[in-house]
Amino acid sequence: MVNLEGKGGMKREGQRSLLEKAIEIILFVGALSSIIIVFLIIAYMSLEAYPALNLDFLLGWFWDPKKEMFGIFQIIVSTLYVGVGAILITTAIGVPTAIFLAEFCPRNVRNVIKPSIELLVGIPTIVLGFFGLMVVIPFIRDNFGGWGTSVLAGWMILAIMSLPHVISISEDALRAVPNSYKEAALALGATRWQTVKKVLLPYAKTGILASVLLALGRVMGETMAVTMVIGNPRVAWIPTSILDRAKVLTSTILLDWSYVEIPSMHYHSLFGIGLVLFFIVALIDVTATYMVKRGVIK
Amino acid sequence: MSWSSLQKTFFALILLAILVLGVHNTWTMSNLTSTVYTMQSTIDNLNSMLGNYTQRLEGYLTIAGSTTVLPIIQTCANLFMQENPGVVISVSGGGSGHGISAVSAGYINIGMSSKNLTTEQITDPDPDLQPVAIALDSVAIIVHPTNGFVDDLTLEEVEMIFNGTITDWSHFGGSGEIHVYTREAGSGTLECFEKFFMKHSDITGAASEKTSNGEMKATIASDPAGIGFLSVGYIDETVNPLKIDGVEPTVANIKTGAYKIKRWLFLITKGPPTKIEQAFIDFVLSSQGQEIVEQQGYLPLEWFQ
Repeated sequence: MVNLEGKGGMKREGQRSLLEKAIEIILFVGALSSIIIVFLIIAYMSLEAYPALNLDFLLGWFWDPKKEMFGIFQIIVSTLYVGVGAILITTAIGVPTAIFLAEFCPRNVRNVIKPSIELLVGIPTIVLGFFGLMVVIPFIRDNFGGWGTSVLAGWMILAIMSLPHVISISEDALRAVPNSYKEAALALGATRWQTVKKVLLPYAKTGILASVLLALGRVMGETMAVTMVIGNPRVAWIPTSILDRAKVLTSTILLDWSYVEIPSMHYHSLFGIGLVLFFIVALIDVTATYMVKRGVIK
Repeated sequence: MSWSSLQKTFFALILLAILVLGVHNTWTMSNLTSTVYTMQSTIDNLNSMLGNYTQRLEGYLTIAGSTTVLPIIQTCANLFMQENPGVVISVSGGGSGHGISAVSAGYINIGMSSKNLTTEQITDPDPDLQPVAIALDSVAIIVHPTNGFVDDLTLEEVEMIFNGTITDWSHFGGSGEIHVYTREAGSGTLECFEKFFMKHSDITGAASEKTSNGEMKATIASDPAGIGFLSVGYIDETVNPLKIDGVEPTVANIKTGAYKIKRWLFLITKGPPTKIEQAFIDFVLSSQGQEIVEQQGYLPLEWFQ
């Protein structure tokens, strides 16, 4: 074929490879720019946070800018408490929903449930915050007592926010189980629930865990809705009950940013909080990605 | 890259639409502009004929800071823009601390503050900042309207509630935990509250932080066990302002000095104000501007001169 086309064919080939090259370069520049942006942000944050980064900052007990005390240990613990609690609720509701959608749900029911869940993703966080402020907080205050603004309110709002992600990714993981495995289990006389328990869940385990971890990273970085419902005591503490109020890393930055003096230790400490939050979320995301990869190889 | 004829037609239609709309717009715009110019020159002629030629003000002003000063300046800005169609003013909150630091950094033209620059806790205030007092304000202690068991507090009782010594409404014949709300550390309202009430101690660390007068009012209006403090300009029927040592925080009582808590409100520029900044500040200080101050529930300057 190539011989028959002769020189003309070669020329066309050359032009085409030139175009290929050009497109390749354009795509590469796109990819490079996103890497550069990430790198710039990390570098800028580290530079601004540097003067504040020491053990007194990470392990210090009190955050009280008025007294020049910038310890974030209690805030970190509060953040983990709020984030992990919310994710436990999400997992308790989300994973059974995913199993139901993937295995037990009739098609026409699924056509109603699935879009409603995906609609949840589109709710802006500030709207969820308003919902929390006007509905969840009075509900908690009237039925459980306390201030209303509480860790529990934060859990509920964050659970609503992260549910659709956990459900979609977990369902995908369950659907990725090869049909032959399922058929083999059923052929051996296993019931549908036994198949789910012994075959589907063990196979999709890593995918489900990854979805939970990704959601955890997301809720830890969430700011607006959490700040509106979590109560924010003036000096952060470790909440002792789920009706206690708390102050998390993101809400501290949001509340303090409006009046911080630039530059000051307070200012550098706020960047320090940002950096700590970034590393926590990055660590969670990397773990999740690693687990997905290992799951695929296995 | 093979386009179906449908896509081609669609694309062509869009191009056509852009072209037509574009031409149409330019035409209307140029028409409009010339009309405005004609009107402007007529007005200018009239003005010069009357021997009262004023130069037309044009430009942008950004104002931010204290949410206490915000309602006054928002209303003044709207009127000022009506009177000077060439001027666009954007007003936003953020708190006194934000107003001072943003004007100092040059992000905004005018900062609003309910803090006095000289008494302010900022370690080295920018020497270029020029504050102008525009009104006075006071701070009231507020509770939920259904809170029936407390109506009058002494200065000491307020301090004991806010520093966490008294934590239960049973102390006043009610029941339940007291929910103490405070403002973010940059707030001018907080500074004024601390100056008059928290003479010997700090606000308890357990108090919940709110970031504006509006948020404070909404919170107290919805929490039956709450107590907080608010600029008197924000008080309405959704919250119940308490008497302090038997004196109600009304404008009349503040004017006579019976209610002792009062503070100045400022507009701050960096360096001497520009022509347009000066024009706006003059407007706020004019009788028209001071009338707005009174309408909004604050105290005009002339009452204290």
